[in-house]
Amino acid sequence: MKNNQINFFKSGDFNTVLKPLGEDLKTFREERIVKIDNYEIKETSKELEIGIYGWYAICPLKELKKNKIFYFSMYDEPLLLFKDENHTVRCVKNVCPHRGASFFGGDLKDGELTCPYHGAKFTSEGSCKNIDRLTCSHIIDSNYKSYAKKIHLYQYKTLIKDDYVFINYCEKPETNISDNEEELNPNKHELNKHGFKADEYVFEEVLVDFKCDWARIIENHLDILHIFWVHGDTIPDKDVNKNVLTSFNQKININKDFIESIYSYKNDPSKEFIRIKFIPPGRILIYKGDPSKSRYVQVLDHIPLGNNKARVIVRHYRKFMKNKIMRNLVLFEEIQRKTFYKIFNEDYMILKTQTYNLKLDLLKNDEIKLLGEDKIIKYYWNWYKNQKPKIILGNIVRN
Amino acid sequence: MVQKSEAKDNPWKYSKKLENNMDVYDELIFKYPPEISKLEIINNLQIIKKTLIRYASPLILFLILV
Repeated sequence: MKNNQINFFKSGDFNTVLKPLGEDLKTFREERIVKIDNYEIKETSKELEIGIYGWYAICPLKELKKNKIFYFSMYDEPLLLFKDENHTVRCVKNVCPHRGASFFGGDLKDGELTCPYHGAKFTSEGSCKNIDRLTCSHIIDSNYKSYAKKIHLYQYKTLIKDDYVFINYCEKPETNISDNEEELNPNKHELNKHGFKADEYVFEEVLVDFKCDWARIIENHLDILHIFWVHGDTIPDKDVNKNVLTSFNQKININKDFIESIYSYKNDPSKEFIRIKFIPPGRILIYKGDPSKSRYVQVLDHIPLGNNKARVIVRHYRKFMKNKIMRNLVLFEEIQRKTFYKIFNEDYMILKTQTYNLKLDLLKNDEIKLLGEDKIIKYYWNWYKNQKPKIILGNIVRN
Repeated sequence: MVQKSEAKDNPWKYSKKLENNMDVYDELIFKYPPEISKLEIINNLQIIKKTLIRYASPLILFLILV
């Protein structure tokens, strides 16, 4: 009988994944192994300053079409995005302040949002344009007019950076959005500030939706060891497959803006294999090798749509296959997208079952051991669950 | 005393109010694979279509002419 267990533990090793074991169990144990042998931690700060509220990349800019509403949600709060008449992106709470209906089925024209229920029209700044048309003086009481004049859209701050639309998701949306540049700048997320020049690369991207826990997807992307096992047959990289015979050293950097894990080859410690950087609240960068020389960099933005709902924007920056004619000829972009979809399909059942087990309270310390073993994942969960009660949004500190 | 971020920030304030059947926004929000496979199917069809146009059609044309 075959033993298909994935064994995370081996005496003396920190993280060990073994191939499914058959008759030749001993041979596999000795040879086909991916492991992190030793690790080093450098802490310049004990904790990350950015909390669960903050700047989230919501979609690529090209997803926003003229006079089309882009619907989404954050932590189950229904929201929408659109470009107004001045090409400014607006993020509006998807609740009409007149009678509480959704704007779904309504109209958007030149930045004016019309509710499908009574036809309330709102300017892109958020004020109601046709309040007099909505109120009928013979059926309302004397207080209504002064009340109705106050109806206003609720909005979150937005910004476009590196062709991403960011929103500043905070405790409460505002009726009066200020355009303070300093406050608007999600500079901690800017790609150029993370060791590689985005304009020297070309990229493909896909968006992927999951019915599972948002935090588990981030954990999945911080977990390097599953890549060999789950995606070994799909990833077109000769260094990544189920039969790999490699050993890594791990170095972890922790500072107030991000946590970073660097995996280098044990037999050649100066050579980086992969570098993973988590920039809260939802961005992960995965570099193939040293950032300044990296042939490709993957940017993953995790969006907490709601309870059991999450979206990831996957962008793959690369220095090879930059010629567009050649790319078209070999259908590079389509095949790349197919690979992305396949990879995320491979993760999906794992993530769904993890979420289910989490909801049923089955992920207790005595039942799973991974959290205690993988240091970057441990730091991530510490951030997620045990932050001090302060949030830093851009340069503003709120207590 | 360290306090849980979720307890302080309360980002799940809307989820707590949700009933099991309150999935009215799901249809509106979910649009990408793997949950909604439409774009994946379109991409696969594009690969087949473009492969045929770029590689098979010149070959067929050549065979017809011969």
